[in-house]
Amino acid sequence: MLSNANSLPKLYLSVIEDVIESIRELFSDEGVEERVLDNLRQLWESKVVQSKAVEGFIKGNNPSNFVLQLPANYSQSLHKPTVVIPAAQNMPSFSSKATPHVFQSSCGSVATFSLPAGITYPVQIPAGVTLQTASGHFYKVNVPVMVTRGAQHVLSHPAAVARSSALTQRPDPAPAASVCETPPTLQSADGPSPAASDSQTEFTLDGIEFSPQPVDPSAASPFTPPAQALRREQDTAADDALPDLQTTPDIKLETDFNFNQLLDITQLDGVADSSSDTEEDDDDDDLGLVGENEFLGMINAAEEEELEEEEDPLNSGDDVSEQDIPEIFDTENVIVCQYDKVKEIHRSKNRWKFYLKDGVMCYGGKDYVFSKAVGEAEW
Amino acid sequence: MEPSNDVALDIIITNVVSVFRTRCHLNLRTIGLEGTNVIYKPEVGKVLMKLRKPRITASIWSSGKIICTGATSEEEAKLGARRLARCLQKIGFKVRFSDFKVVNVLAVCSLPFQIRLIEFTKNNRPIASYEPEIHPAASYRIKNLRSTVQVFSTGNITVTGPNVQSVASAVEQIYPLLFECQKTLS
Repeated sequence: MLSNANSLPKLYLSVIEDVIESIRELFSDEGVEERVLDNLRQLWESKVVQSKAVEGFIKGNNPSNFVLQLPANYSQSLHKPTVVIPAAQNMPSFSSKATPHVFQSSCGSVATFSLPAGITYPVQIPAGVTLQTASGHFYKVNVPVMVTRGAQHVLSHPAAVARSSALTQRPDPAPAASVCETPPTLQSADGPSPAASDSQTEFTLDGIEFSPQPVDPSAASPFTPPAQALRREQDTAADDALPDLQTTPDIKLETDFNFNQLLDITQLDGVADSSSDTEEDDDDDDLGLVGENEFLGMINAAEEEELEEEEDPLNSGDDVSEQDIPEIFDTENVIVCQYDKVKEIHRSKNRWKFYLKDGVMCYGGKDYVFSKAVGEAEW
Repeated sequence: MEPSNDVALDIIITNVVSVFRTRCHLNLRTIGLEGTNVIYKPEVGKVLMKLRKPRITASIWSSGKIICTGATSEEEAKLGARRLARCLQKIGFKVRFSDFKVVNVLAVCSLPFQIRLIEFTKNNRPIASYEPEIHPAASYRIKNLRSTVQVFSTGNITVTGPNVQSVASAVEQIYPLLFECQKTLS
């Protein structure tokens, strides 16, 4: 019914992206791990999906970021259900979706296809596949790999993959919230890896978590991947990993220092607040008025008695409770917006007109976003 | 001809206006922002708060004086006023419910006959006044009850007075006078 059904998931995704990116620096300054940021993002996205407020909201929906080039023989294997997507979303299997997009180039050396728009990220790619990202880097997968967006997926063959050439992070830094926890360790530790990466650059499929290597646990600092991702894009040799490792302890120390600094700030509000309370003022007023009453009482004692009698019942509060107000407000449909004008159509009739702008409406469980809205209602 | 006193007249109270004081200063802006069902009128310096349960509208001033309108009985007016005071208390003001007073009651009544207004005015010269060019009804002021009755030629009358009792008395008092001047084809 509403045409924003297609753009809404993108809008929400972009909002999530913006927020996560803008607080990333804040988080790192405060000494909070990137993993927390990732968790926040995961939680947020899953809640949006759960609420079913948005149609077609697919976690990690970035269709154009990943162009996979497969070797020629792969197109045949595509028809087989060799690639399976976990049934987290109602997605058809990878192969059936991908097939329409596969076209053989004339030379027959590679087949290119892009991940279809609706594909959710846990994608399993069998061995022997050569992948090319949008930036043009070639990656060869020697063992079955699972490509994920989230940091939660553990690979089915962690040991095997660790020995693969999966190493650098994706060229696209924006959604790089998912942590590659021990990429530096792999680079330095893997003897067999050069064999796999012989002619190609090392790469990491985004979000792959490897079992921690004992080589350098300090390198698992959350601050290393973003800093190193861009650097390692260009690096191919394992030697370049060493300076990375050296810088990580420094970064870690810095963050610790900052956190200590924060603890030294004294709190000036709350209990230590020195500003006067409004209660004090009211008390003063009450005293003054009571004094007034007493004065009047000297003139007319009966009146004063009446006043006191009437005041007491209200203070107890039991008589005068409104239970109907919560009933009226027990609604799920909410609009959060700014208003241009809200006016009464004739005072005696309870009819109102609303001129609203820039808002989100949640109606019947679904979200609708608008830049202008006009409404009429009865109070 | 003696006016019959057996006629049961339906006096319908349409509006009861009352006032009370909260005995504390009220921040109108706070009420306008945090209160429910409020209309903030900064140009006049008051906040209107409408209640659903007794259907009443209250004008709230920053001095703490509140005028409550729209009730259909004196009890309802008091109940509504207390509910209102409770609302303000919940917002956070130290409200005391004091000086509650019903100041005006408006009632209507439909007489079963039409009235010859000119004759009625002539018969009740100083008390009744009728200026058809200004207003189509004749007005009859009962000083001791402090009430006013507006008489229309259709037989409909509106009565305003300081309380329900005086309104009822006013109707009783004026009925025989109107009965005399009814428009019968006799």
